[in-house]
Amino acid sequence: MPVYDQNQLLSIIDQASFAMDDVLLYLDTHPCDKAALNYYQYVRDLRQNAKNNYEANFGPLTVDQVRSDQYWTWVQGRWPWEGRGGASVCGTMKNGCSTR
Amino acid sequence: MACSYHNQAAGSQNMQSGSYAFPCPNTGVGGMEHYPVGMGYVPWQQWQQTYSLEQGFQRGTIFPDLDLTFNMGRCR
Repeated sequence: MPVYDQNQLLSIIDQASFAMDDVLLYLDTHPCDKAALNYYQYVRDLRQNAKNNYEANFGPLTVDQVRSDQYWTWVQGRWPWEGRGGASVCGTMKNGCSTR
Repeated sequence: MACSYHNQAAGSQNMQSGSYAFPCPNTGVGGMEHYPVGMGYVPWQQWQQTYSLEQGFQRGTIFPDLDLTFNMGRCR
């Protein structure tokens, strides 16, 4: 995986998360569609890799990803009401927006 | 179909005479001649080449088939 900066990784996570949500709606009604299953695995792996990459470099995106036993790294990122560098404010996530 | 488009057509403007142009929807059978009337139908979506991740995120769907132009505006 090439080197991405923080915002690039968040964009990949946003886009892959959305694509995963969209393909799962399709799969709910087409559970035997192999092309859709392949696409699901593609975006799931892409999203997981981007999340792992982000969390290794920029801290936890979700509260269950705090790794350090020395410091509560969850408090390092922006709070949801602090926005994303002036961009729109989203709930539930410390650093990102649409990830679940 | 409680869109503003239909509400407008059924509203008080309907009763006015004069030059008001009524926005009539297309009610042609459009290839569904063999289906009974009065029922709702949703054609099965088929898998297709998806948008790129970036484009899907911008368009709000990864499927070009579902990226439709809504000429009548949004329902509120």
